[in-house]
Amino acid sequence: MKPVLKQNIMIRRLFVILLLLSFVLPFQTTVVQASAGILSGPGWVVVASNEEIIDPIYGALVTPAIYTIYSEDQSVYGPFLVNELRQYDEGSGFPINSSVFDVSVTPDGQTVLLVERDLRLVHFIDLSDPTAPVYLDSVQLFSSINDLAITPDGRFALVSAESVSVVSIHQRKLVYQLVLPTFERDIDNDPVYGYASAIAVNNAGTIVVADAINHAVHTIRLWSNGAMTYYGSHKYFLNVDGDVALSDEENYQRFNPINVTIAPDESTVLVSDGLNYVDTTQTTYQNLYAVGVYQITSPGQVQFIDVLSGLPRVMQSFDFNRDGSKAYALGNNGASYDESASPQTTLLNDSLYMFDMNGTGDIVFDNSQSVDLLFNTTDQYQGTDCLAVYEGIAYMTYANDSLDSTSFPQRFVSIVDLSDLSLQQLNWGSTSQVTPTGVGVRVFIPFKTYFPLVNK
Amino acid sequence: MKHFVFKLVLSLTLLIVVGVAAVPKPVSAEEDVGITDGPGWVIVASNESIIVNEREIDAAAIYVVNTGSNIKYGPFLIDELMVYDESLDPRVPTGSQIFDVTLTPDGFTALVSDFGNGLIHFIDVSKPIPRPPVYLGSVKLDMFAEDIAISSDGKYALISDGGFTKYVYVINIAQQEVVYQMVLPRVESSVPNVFFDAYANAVAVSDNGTVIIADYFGNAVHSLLLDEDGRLTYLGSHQYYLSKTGEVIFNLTSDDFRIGPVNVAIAPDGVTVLVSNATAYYDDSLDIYDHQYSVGVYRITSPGVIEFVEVVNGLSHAMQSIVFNETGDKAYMHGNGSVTDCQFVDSVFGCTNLNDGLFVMDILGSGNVQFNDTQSTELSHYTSSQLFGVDTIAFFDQKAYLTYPTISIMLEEYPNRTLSVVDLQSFTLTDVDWGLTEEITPIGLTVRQFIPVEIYLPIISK
Repeated sequence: MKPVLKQNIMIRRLFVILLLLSFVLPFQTTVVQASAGILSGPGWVVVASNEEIIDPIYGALVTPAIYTIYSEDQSVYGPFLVNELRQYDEGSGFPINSSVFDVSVTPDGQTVLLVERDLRLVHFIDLSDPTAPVYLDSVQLFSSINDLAITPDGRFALVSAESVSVVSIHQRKLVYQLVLPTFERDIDNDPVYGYASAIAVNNAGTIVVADAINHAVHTIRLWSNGAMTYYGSHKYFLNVDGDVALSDEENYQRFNPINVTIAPDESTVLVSDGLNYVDTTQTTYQNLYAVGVYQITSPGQVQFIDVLSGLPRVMQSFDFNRDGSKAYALGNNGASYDESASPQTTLLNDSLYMFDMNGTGDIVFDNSQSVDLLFNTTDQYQGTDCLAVYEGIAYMTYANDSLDSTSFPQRFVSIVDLSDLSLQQLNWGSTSQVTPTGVGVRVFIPFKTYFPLVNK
Repeated sequence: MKHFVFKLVLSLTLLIVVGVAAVPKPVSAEEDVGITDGPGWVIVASNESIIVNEREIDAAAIYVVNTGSNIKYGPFLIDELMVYDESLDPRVPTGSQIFDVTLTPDGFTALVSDFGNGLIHFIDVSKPIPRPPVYLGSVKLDMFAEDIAISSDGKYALISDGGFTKYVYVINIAQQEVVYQMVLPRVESSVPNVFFDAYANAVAVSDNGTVIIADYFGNAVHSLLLDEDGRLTYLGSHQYYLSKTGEVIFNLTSDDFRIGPVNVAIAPDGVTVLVSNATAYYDDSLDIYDHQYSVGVYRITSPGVIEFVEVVNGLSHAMQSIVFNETGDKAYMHGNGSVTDCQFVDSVFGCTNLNDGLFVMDILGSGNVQFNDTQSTELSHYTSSQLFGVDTIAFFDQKAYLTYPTISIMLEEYPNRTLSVVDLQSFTLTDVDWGLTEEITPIGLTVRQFIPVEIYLPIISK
């Protein structure tokens, strides 16, 4: 027995030494490493940005970059990877314009996936050190990309475009493509095929796709091997009073789903509706918008719950607080109209809005508070998430690049402290030269200590 | 207890006697009550030239042939299968061309594809004769409908196209409506990072819901999974190539031949998959050479997933259609396009064409097949091209029934059409006359098995 006891004591001593070492070693690494033993702390906001640069040979070019913002003090790092993200014409070798939009961070916080829309690329960036991102690779798809969502297990990136593609994050490879089928017929009785404007996925493999082209929401089931099965499509219609119909009726308009989000309860689905349903024949009115609410009932299946109508802006992007009790939305395209005024139309500033999540599929608009972002934009990106919430702070870019550079010569990343709704504007540069687009969050990553495996 | 059992048996016997006596008289079938074996009916899709308002119209019709007597009945349903276009002259039909015929597992309903009009017709064949087939309805598809496969539970029909579309449709048979449309994706070829558009040219479905697609244009075989609600999930693709001597190659070079899958059949074991390749390979470096064909062999390893097993090569004909006997140890194949002795004679290059034939493959086990070169029957004609997915051979009671694997045939050489009936014990051929080649074309066929007359007894509770 004695030798065994002695061995155990030695193992315990080794364990203590390693544990002490684990406390000492982190301080030898860069600032991005969290401290051992601490489980929560500051994260990093990753911002996709498109910059106009002057190439000495080729002149003005739009080139992508990424930035990181340290959530502890809102200090900005970047631009990063300007050279790596620049694209070239294969034939001539000349650099070409390129723009990045949606940003997603893998659940382990180590990798950023970045959407280059028109060149159909998904870029992979190593973010293990947020102060020095490293370009890894890219995957090219078959058509312009609108949105990207990462599965909660971090295995797959789901990319919405003309079709829905599955990219293996580990292999950095396209592994599956689902072409949305005919889901209805148009007035000429021609088939209408689904389109994927925006995409979201929950941990049970339900994929919800917003189809802004065909005014529908499609549902798909993702299987463990990355295969997908189309399950169904849903539509709703609104009249000028905000009443809902689930089929096309006279005096009802088709909704316009431009983005989709699944709440932390993994069941509630919020569909951002870009339809301005207000009665524009009135002499005075304010634009009115809605958010569609669906509930995931089983893997691949959703049911329509409700429409939150009477909203003052298009809620282009949603994010949630950690416990899922609050939803936050970046709203734009607000306007008021008065026939007797001059000018008759007044654009209203983009704002941050809040919703109470009372239960699965039960969501209430909190019209008592909002934060004016001090600029206004009109159109909306499809699928690009321009709002990220982390540790009580909301980070926002712009719901669209339609910012009037005369009225708003400077771009900002808007930061709202959600405890007091105070606004901080991080200067991002000249409106005509730089456009921040998608945002994502790399959450705090506890420092990991690896102990050797010891057999008895 | 004994007394009770005796009473129960007596009661049941009486009930059966009464039931037999009380059964509603089926039309001329009362003499069949109690008979469990008998002739089947070959159901043939036939296309005929008819005159309507002094215009020649391509019409479609159904014929049935008694397997006991080889007597042909029909044409049936010419009017019902006719298609009119309201935007043109609504009084004049636009023409029809029916191809594949598939029966529901209960043998009561035939589904027939109308290629040009994109229709799947539903026909009641529960009592082929003396009551002729009854037209039930049709489903319109957004493609040229060619091949039909029916799931073993009889719930769904899967339809593939004969042209350049990427769809597989699922039709709910009971509801006679489309319930699902699969659009095949772009898939990675056998060369990594090289993608191609997948097409669906022929379809088969196994008992476990594995759907196999033959893709002639993509030179590939795709596998899908059919779920209980009729949804399809794409699960993978397979490609291979053949060298000049028939060796299987997975990385294509300029000397190799792409395969051309035109049809697919799943054996009764539910595992073995045979894929008809209509593209020939040949070694043109020889002074005299033949066109040789092959059949790809795959195994269904799990629902929706197949693995490549081997290629049966060196075949003299393209095996356009494949059917199996009941026990599943024999596959019978309808071969055409045989080209042999290709050579220059007096500086003129030429080949010799051999007649179409019936050929046999021995199924030795799951995925284990062997071409039987001792058994075959030469048919009375030669044809060259192949229809996609249309089954032109049917098996019933040790006989094979064959139409034509293509609509093309040389009129002068073959002025008359026939239904070829091959006795599979003697491999002798009987030609059932079908009419003039320029007027009538039998294409898809299937056999409705003999269905015993069913007697329904009332359920009696104690």
